[in-house]
Amino acid sequence: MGVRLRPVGLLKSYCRDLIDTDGEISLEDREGETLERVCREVGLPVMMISLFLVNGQPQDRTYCLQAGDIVKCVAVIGGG
Amino acid sequence: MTYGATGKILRVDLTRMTHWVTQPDPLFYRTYFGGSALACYYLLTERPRPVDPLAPDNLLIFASSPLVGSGIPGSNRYSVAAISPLTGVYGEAEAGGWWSTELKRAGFDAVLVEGRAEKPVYLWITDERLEIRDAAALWGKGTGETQQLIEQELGESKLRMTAIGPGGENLVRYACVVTDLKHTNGRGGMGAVMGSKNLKAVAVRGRQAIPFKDKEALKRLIKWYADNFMDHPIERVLHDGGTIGWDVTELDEAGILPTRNFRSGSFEKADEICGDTFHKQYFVEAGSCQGCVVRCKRVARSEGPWKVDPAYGGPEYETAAAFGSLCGVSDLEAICKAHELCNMYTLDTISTGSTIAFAMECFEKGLLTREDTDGLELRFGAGEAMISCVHKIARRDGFGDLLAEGSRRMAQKIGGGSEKFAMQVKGQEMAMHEPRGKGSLAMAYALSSTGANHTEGPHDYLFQEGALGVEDLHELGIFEPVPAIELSPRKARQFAYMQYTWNLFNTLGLCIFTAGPGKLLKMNQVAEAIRAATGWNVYMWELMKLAERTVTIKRMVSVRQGATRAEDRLPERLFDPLEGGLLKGNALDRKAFETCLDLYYDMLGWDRNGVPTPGKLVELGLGWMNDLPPAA
Repeated sequence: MGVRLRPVGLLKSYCRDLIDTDGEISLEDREGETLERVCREVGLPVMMISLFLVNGQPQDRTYCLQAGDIVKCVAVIGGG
Repeated sequence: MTYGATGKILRVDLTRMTHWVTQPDPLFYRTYFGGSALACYYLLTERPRPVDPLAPDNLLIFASSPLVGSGIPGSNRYSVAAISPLTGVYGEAEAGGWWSTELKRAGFDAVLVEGRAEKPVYLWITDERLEIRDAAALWGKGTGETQQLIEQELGESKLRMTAIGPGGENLVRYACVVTDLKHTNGRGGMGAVMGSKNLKAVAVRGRQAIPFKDKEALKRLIKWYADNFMDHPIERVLHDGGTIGWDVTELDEAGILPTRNFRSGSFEKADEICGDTFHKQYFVEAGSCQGCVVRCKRVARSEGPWKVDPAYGGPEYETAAAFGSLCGVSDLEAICKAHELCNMYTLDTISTGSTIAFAMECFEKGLLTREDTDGLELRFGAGEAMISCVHKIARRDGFGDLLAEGSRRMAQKIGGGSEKFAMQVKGQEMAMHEPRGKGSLAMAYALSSTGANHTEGPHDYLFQEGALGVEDLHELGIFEPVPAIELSPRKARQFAYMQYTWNLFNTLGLCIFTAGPGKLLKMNQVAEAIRAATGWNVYMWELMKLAERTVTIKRMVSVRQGATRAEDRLPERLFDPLEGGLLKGNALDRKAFETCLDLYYDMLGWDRNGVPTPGKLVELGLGWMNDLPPAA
């Protein structure tokens, strides 16, 4: 069981080729790696990600992934 | 010679139907530059005593700036300012488009309008000449028809026009001014001030070149920007999706999407009103302002039940949220229609949506009934009723007459505890950003001289640990990222410096989407652009002092209209917990807020009542304010 990454909203445009029909990127053997590293690996602009939700809970970008984690990445930018 | 500026300000007296031109000396432009600072300078010096905003005595100002027209992306904006009929204190709103540059090409840096015409008129400004023309046939018409008729009458298809529709004519307190149907000076009721003067439109056409000092340096900066903007994540997002593409979904996930009149931070149907859905179903094309490669504007069309005319552009994030989650409405087509109507009628989408949301909550609480609402079942989620309200507001028809007064006055009339959830500061409705998740917005809403103003504060998520904007703040001497949700002394400092920055941009006529912390053009490059445009030896110190000067003059305008610390408040609801979303249970801390308020006044050199001290005024080169006669 690996981890599942779900880029939200505008972040999807950075890794559309990797996203499956459920809107997720499934990654194997990522346990122990940080959120920041894994996001960078799939092409996400990490400096834009202002919120990482792991299994629904906010986590720091240095959080180390565990098997079965479901991660949402959110870029909260500004107004307009 | 003053490079960048035309050196001429057009004065118009509509009571006497006369006009004249003043030519400030170059030092005036170096001190106040243009835009926001120029506007509030004239308001303060010429209206130092309380003014009835809808009386002929109010001074209405349209101000460009020496940087406008230089071609630097985003340098195309102008300020419209007056004493606001919504708040009773300083009112100001900015817009982009082409009008500001065209005004300079027509030979003027600003237009100041006082008095009231006996019958409807419009101004036709071309090549340093002004005609005050009869607008009786235009009165009652929307902006689209008005523009068409003026173009036909003048035989000019290339003019640029800023105008009001029925909303402004009927003195809706939050009526806006709309330029070329798509660009809005949205906030504060500037459209109502125009309407009170029987001024329908200001049309401009200019053929003069604007003299800039170093055109080669400007060209190099413009080319550099064009070559690099798509590599900047934020400029790319704006280009690809507009602001509707970067906020609804994201704010919902973060628990800070204003929902049902700020009761909750999450809308269960956010996906139905987000950027993705918009682009799939209603998007026609991107739009731009003069000289800007980012092209962040969106144009919408629909042939569905709510036929949406693309001539009026399309919704930004603020509009999508104000008529969407805030009103509990998930019908994106209705939201696009509401946007179109607001641009046609000239109503501020934020205040319109927010006032309707307030009315919805009053209805659900039984404080308003169908008898009050002309039979409308005005509940959260009622998209059709929401659209009906927009029409009624613009015409002040039935229930619309009450809605047209804004949520503060409505609450005063309705009572029953509704004041607690009229989400306004100084009378101006809050924008679609939740202070219980963004500490700076709490300060921006409370402390802007114009009332709740989201464009005066940083959007906190960009400036927390690891975020894109953190390194850019080093230019302002801020080296410590601060968590978005925090409301603390270090957040107060971050806010104060960013408030200066965004106010500076309003004075420069520069867009906050192309430049500044978190954007591509850095502050030192802004200084470089000004040196190239004007030939002045301008660096960051001078610019930040100009910024401070802008904030301070605005404050003095509001103080002289009667504003005190008592008005630097927030709606009571913000001190109650959010009812839903990721931040459910979060509330602002009252003590932290008051502490930040005190610190802010101290930092800016104001007394604890929010009045700039005599020493501070002298330090900013505004010592002449100490000699102004008493306000009352």
